[in-house]
Amino acid sequence: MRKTLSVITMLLLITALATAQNREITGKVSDSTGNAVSGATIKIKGLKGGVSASVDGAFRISAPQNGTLVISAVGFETQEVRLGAGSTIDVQMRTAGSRVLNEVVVTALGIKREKRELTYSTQELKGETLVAAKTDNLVNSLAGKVSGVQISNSTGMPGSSSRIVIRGATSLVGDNQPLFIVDGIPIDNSEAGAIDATGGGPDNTALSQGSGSNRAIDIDPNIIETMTVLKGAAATALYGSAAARGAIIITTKMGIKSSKPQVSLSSSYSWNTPYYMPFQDKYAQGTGGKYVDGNNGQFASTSWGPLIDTLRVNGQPVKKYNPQKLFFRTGHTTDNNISVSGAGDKSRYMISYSYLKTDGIMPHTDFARHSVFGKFSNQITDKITATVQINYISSVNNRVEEGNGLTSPLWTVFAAPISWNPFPTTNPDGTQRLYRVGRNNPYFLLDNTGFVSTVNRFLPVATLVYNATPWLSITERIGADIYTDQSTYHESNLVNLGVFNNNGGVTNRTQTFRQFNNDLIVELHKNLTDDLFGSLTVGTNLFSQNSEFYQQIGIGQTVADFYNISSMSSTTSSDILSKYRKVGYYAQANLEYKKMLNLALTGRYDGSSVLASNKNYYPYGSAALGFIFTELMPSGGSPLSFGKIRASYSAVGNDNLSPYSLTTQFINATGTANNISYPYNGQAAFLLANVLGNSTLKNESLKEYEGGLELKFLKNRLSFEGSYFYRKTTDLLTPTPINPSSGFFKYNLNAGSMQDKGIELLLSGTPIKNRNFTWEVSANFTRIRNKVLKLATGVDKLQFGGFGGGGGVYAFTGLPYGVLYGSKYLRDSATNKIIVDDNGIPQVGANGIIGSTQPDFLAGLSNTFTYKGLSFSFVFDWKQGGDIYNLDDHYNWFYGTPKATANRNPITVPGIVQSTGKANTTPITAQTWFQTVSNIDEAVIENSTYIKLRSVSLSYTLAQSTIKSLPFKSITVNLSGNNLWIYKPHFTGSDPEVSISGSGNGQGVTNYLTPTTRNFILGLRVAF
Amino acid sequence: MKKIIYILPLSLIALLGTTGCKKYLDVNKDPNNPGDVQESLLLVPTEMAVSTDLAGGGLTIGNFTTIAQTTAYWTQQIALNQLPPQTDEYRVRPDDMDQQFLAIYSTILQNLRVLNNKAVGQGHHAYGVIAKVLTAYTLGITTDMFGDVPYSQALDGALHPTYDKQEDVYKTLQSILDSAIAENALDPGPIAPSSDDFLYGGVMTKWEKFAYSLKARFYIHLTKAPGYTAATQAGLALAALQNGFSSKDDEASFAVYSSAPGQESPWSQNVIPGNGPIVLATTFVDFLKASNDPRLPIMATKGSGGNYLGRIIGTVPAPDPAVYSGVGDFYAAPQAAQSLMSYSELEFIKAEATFIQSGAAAANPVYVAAINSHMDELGINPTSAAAVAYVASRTPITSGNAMQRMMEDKWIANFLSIENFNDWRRTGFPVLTIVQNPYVPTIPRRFPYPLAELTSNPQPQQALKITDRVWWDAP
Repeated sequence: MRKTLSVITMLLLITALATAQNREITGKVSDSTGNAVSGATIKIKGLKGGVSASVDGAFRISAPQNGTLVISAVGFETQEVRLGAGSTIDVQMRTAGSRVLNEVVVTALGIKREKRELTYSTQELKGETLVAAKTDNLVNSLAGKVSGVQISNSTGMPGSSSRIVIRGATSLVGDNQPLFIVDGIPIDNSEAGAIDATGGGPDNTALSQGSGSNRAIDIDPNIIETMTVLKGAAATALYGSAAARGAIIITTKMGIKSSKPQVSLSSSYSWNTPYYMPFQDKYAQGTGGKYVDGNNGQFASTSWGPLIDTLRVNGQPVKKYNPQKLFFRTGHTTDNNISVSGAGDKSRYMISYSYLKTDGIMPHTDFARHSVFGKFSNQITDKITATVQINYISSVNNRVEEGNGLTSPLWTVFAAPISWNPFPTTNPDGTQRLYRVGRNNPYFLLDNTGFVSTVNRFLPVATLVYNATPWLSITERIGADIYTDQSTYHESNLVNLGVFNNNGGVTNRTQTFRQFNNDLIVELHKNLTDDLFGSLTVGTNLFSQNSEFYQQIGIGQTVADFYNISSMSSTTSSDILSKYRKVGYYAQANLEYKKMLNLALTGRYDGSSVLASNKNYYPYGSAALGFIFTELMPSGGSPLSFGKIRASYSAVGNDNLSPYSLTTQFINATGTANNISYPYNGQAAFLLANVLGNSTLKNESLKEYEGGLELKFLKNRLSFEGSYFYRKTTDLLTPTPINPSSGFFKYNLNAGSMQDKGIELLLSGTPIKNRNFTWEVSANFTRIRNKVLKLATGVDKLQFGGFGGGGGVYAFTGLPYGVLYGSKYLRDSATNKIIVDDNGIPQVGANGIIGSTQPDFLAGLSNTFTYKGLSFSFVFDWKQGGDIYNLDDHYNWFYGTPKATANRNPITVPGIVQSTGKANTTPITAQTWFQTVSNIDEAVIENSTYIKLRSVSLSYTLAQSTIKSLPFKSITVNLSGNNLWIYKPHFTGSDPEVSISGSGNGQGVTNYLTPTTRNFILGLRVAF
Repeated sequence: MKKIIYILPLSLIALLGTTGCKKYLDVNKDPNNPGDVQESLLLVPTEMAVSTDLAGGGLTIGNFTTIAQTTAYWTQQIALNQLPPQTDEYRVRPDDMDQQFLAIYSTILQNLRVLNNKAVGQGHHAYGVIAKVLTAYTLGITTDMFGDVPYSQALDGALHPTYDKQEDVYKTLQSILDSAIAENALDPGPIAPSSDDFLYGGVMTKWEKFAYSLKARFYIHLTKAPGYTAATQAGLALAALQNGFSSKDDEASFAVYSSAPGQESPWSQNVIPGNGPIVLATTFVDFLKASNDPRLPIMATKGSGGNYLGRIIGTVPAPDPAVYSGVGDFYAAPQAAQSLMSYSELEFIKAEATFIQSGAAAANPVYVAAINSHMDELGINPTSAAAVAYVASRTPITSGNAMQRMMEDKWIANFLSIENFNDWRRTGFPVLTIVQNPYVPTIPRRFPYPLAELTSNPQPQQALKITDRVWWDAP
């Protein structure tokens, strides 16, 4: 509590600075639209001190008779007004032009600041940009636009998740994604994933059943005014430990003052066509070149048969099918929004409703989202303004299983022989019709399985701002994130080897999530001297999160085509409750000297419920300095119009730990003995958990250095922003594998250390700008180097994604986070040549490192051309490097369906014969080659480099003269395309931007995922 | 200015008001899982794990190799219809064993220790007896498969236990069983197992017989161990089995499985086509066919060609595995019982020990009784013509062929049992030839230590290859 005491002292000191003048002037500061400019600074030229305008723009100042008022405000050009005889002055401020650099950005806790003052890196995107991106998932709309940020979409399934990581991974197995904040309130962005009916844990569930939605998908881009990406710890330290991984600050729209309500309508329709998996279309079903007639009751899983074009059965040619074209369809998205906004003298409002509906390219899959948003603010008294808002989202997501579980229809789409007709889907006796054993007919699965997730979410926020004096304001903000996700999976007992093992079943899962956040913030800002401006923010935060996963598994279908859980022959339930609370005390001090030198200090003291009770409070903070060196240079003449260097250091604590990790409890024994579920014959069963609790866990730490350079040239026509950062995390909270002979499998430890180093560059400019034509271009580049410095003692690797046999996605000491590990070719240790057996066949060797999922760099390029009402823009997104484990090849090479297997010439493997040590000369068939190497993990590692044309957009806004006679303020027609082109020099699947783990840490693995799509979008926007 | 005087203290009170909140953060007590449970709740899942995971070789999630399945491959009773090299071609790597150690040490031994300590501490001795017998059963399999294993320093979170020598583990096994037998004489106390004991329903005399039968099993394992003589071990085994199973009613057969979802027997799950597919090996099928064994139609299913066809391990997989014979319903039906130790196994131990002590003539009737006990188990009347003809074809045994005949018939009677791998290593019977496309040059004689032990608890024994011998498997 010492900190609070020093805060009091500061407050008292500033209070003591009072002023006394001779003549009273009152007035009001407003912007060009008539809205009040609160917090504007009013000074007397040549004198120290000054006052700030209240929330309604009003001010009162004592001034000498012939004085001059100097009025300045964030985001506006500074004005000087000579005082006349009157005692009332209304000032209208002009928005800052391009010549003066005072772009305003939202920073931590929603505090607006001029970008020039900032001592750290942020990047802001306007709401229009996000809306124009036309992506169902808000996270995807950032792709290619922000430096330091990696976005990875997971699949083409409607409602699919997307992962965002800012400045590289910082946690080994915990969350690596940033904090999402809407109007000052943190919101949940977790992914519930597929239903884990078998108790296999989330990793296995993702691999065999696919992933879910990350919950930021609920946010409708139409209500967003700005989205700011806070990258480093210096920018986010004020947010506390939750933002140690960066923060996405979303500010919603608000009405602006006008004579009548602003009504806006927008509507778009899109056609989404799949990127098909490249496959061979020459060879029929069979093996060794011999045809197996899967259409007539013969079975073979492989397409190593004869050429189909010359194949005759009973003298008749065999018909050729395209399994993907038959199965997938054109998807459609409709997106409609209506909003009404406005403002009066004392109040402002914004009401919005959106409806988004995507029908996936896979039948029976869709995503529908209703979003209602209302925000109302009122100036209750001279000094108090209240804002109340609520966002209600209702979404329904119908999915089909993905991944390598046998309920994934993609098994028998991507691996189906071209000679096989999938119809009819059933035999006369009602059983499935298939070309092989041990799988399911894809169309039969569509009709007999399904997953639906229904989400109802409320995001209420209430804010009360008390402008006690012009230099002191108190903000009380309370908000919540409340949702339920009701998910149901069902499966028929006719499905072969599904989740319910031929029994059929239903699983209902209800996730209830309630999160409350309260901030009380006191802000003081004052010109301490003419040259020195100071501000101080102190506050407290209370945070509480409650969640419940209630799951009921019903196994044993008793009624055909009927899937209510009450009709299942046995049911078991589980209920997982979780409670997590935090308190925080924070302070931030900013000092600005001559608008040239900025010093920012932040400190925070957090308490967390999940840590050991004697170690659950931890302090941290940051210090940063910015120097605008162009202030020292003579104005004019130089092409350099603005230059700033900045440096910061921050040390942040983090409680990246699940509740209840401190003790070892007894757990329900279901899942510990194969298929057995408890209670069994009425007997309940518990076992000591195999994760050993640890009552001494403390917070993990992150230290970060950041340096940056910001330059603007040629009257700001060209600007550059570059940052370098180094961050290191230590004491990582990690469930660490231990020797099973301890009786446990994992031990919760503070163990492990990781570093990220990176550069982020952003270059933007306006090469052409004249009355009718503008060309704006922006390019960004990110290069991050990650290294796992240390794991727990006695542990050399840690798995956090992947597949059986020890292969998967790992952290290895001394290597970048997310290396791929698996079986390699057996090689000669001296020459590194592949060793083959006497038949010329390569051999499976030991496991080793076979790839790294970390990209070499990321880059993006945006261009916008505007000619009168016509605007054309496009965005390129480039990911260079990063390996992907192509499990599709692992399976499909065996089956002989991928494009690569079209070449069936015998292969002589360049290698050494094991028994003789001589060069191999024995050729093997293509079938032997592919079937052998499909089993060697190393063989199916592919470089995931891609360049994507993310979006191309052509929009036309009708001229005012054209629509003068119509009741519209504006009409804009838009024609755009997303993901029109993908360049992927090494990846043999359809789109290298895929992940079987959804937004989880185990990135870099693909297996039987819904292809992504090319989207053609037609849109119309009308304002009244 | 006056207002400030109010505002400041008020806001400070608000700041301070949230500080007295040690209690606010005190919510980290697990509401989902209990901190303590009574004995019966631990007995149910440990017994189930011993039967399903260990004896039945049931797969756990993300795992495709279990000990009991692997020993059935390596003794060529079953085969995997997949492209070699797979487990049946001896491809077993350290990471395949992680889940096995998890089942053995975490699920079974750790929880049996908790159960034992709790039971002994509270005087609930019947639970103490069961915990000890199951511990000996599990530890016995573990040391037979791996050789030196962690035990005396292991469990309870011990981070780097050294491994006990197999000879010491064998002494421990006998002493655990002796203390179980001694404890069974004590008053079982106020709380005793009944329906929570799926194996014997709380009938403690049967547990004691099981303990003696295990003693006999462990004695006979050491017939060629360095420093031990076959004669002494045979004598000890014969003495112990006097108090062992006296009929098939006593045998340790886990018979609670049913066709209800989530209650199916381990082998019914193992032979699901997606888990393999597992089919019968040609070595096993051809052996039964060659001797006109009446048990074949019960132990095997017919292939799609209408005949009994085994798969030659190591060959190219058949496109449709249905051509091969599968495991018969007696062993692989959802309600099939899982044997932990059968009465006929004890009969074969008796036959072997009798042969060692008294020769072939004395052993012959015991051997016949052992075969017949398995016929009886399968529901074949030992006096039926087919059974009698079969026995006639196998007897009388001579000192030259006795061990081979007994071990071949024990291999049939102990179908899918881990014991076959022990018997083959001890006696060399049944004669096995190396499979086609083997992953290692000779038939394995042990399992690799799990990867999780290699990385987290390096021990000298981990350098051993799977073709190396365990201590009692002296050449």
